[in-house]
Amino acid sequence: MIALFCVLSAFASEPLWVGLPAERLVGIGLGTPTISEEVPGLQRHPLSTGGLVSLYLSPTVSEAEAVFAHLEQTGATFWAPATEPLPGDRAIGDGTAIVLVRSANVVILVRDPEAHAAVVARRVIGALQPRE
Amino acid sequence: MVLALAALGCSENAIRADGVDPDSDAPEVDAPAVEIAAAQAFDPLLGPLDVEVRAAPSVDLTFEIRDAAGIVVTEAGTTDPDGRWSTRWEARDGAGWEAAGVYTLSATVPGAEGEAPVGLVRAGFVAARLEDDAGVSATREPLYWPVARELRDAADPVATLAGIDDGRAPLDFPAVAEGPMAVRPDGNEPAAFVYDSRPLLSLDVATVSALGGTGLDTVDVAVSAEGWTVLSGVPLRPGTPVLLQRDAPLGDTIGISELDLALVFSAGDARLGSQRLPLRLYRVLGRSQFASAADKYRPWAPMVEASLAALEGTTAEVYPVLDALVDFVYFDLDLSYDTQSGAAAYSVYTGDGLSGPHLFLTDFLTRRNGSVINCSDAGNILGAYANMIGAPLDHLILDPGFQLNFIQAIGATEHTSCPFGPGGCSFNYHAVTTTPGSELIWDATLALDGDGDPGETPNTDLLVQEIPADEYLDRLVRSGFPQYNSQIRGTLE
Repeated sequence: MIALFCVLSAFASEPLWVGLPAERLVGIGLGTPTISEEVPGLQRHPLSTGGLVSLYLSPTVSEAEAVFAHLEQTGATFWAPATEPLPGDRAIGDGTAIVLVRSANVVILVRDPEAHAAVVARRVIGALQPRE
Repeated sequence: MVLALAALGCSENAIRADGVDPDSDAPEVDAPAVEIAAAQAFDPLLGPLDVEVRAAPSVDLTFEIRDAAGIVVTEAGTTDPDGRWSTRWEARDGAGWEAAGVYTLSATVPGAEGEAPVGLVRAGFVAARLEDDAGVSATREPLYWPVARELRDAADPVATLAGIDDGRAPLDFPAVAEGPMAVRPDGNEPAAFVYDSRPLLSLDVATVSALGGTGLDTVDVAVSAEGWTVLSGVPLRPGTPVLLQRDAPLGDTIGISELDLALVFSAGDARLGSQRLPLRLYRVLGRSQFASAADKYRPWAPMVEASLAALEGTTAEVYPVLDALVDFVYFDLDLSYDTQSGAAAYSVYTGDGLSGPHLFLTDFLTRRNGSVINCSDAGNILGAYANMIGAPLDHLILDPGFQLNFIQAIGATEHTSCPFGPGGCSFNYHAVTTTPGSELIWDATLALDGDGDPGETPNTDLLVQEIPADEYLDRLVRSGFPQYNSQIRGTLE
């Protein structure tokens, strides 16, 4: 019970993100997003160096965790082990060609042909707008 | 002075102008006849009207052309020793043209006079629509234009003209732009029909021209086109569309039909010129096979153009079409497999687990996220092409994960059992496609090893076209127990 309370308290105390401000996109190498009409909360940004950043904004951390689990199952057919420390609260992928990251209520999936996926993910997290 | 003569086709007009009834018993008066030979009608933008007057030899004559308001042209001359005199009417009026309508040609010699009506006319169409008859002999499939997000159907003209001439010369309908296009072209656009349709063509008659009006309200003009039958709307009248139907089916295969219609105008036996109407018609297998009736699930013009150009002449049946589409996606789209992680560039699964395959087709058309794809993408892309041209194709999942036999992934040049490098010899899942009820697999992500031992070299290329589901598993899976599941038609945006 105490452990569960600590986990829940940890979730409750995490700051939440409200999104990625448009004026910060260019600075972190992301292109104008495609806003999905079919998948709520999904934005897909092309990378200026090629590749793709998919950003899922969920209302709560627990919902973002469900998104993370879903993408862990469906986002790639092969998850290579990480070759470097990965960002965020939870992450998988090799961190070079691909990384799947959850930071609070945001899930970020980066495919980077330039092999800097984890770096890109850190930049995106750093540009997120926190809830006031 | 402009001598203009409008002639109404058929035979030349020959009028006995001496007033004698040939059936009468009264003695004939010996007076010279005047005959006017000219076409029944003419279009001055295509050339002048030639007129010949036949009367007594070597006599003076006065020739006039009159409209309802009076004399338009007058000219004097003398017949030659054979009694003939000729002239030419260009129907010019200063820098412009005489008004459209019916004129009277008149030739007067001593003791005799002849007259003949002639029509001054400009015939042409300003809009063309392609229609069907709800499948009786033609089925048209509306086309979706993704950039503008608009659906174009039989109510929308495929070709339009601001006018049938530029003041000096007749205008044809413009050609259809070449190649796949996401933006609907101005002036002339392609249309899609089921391959064996006999399309109906509805043409809007022009109401204005370089002559002011067209003269079509008073001059009877017909239209014809080789290989098409006119069903209604002749003689041409402003405000009444002309309807034609193609005599023969577009074809017995799928592909693209480039038609170049010559719409020929005539008044009686006189040809009044023609107007060219190029048409590009996509011959699809059938109507879109997506479940949703929303506009974006109708065929996308750039998708249909690209696939049918590659599939020209393919037998109009589901399996040959799917086979050809696997070739097209695997070889022709410059795609390659993500050998880093097998991650999707254009797909997500919107349901639980690997259900609800969804394709970001607008992004794929522009390769917004590059050309490196995975099996989910290949399955969705193949499904989009297939369903849009009438070949039903579902997305299908293989999981849980399994070790691989030898495969040659899309864009690769050799077979491998470890597409992700050492230690990367398995798929967590794999996406393929199938047509309902077939228990056959189509997969554009990879080629299998087609020899008797797919787990070892050497390897033989076997494209995944109509492969029985059990055989597909035997050839793909080295170890593991994946099952087929989550068969469903994909969605897109």
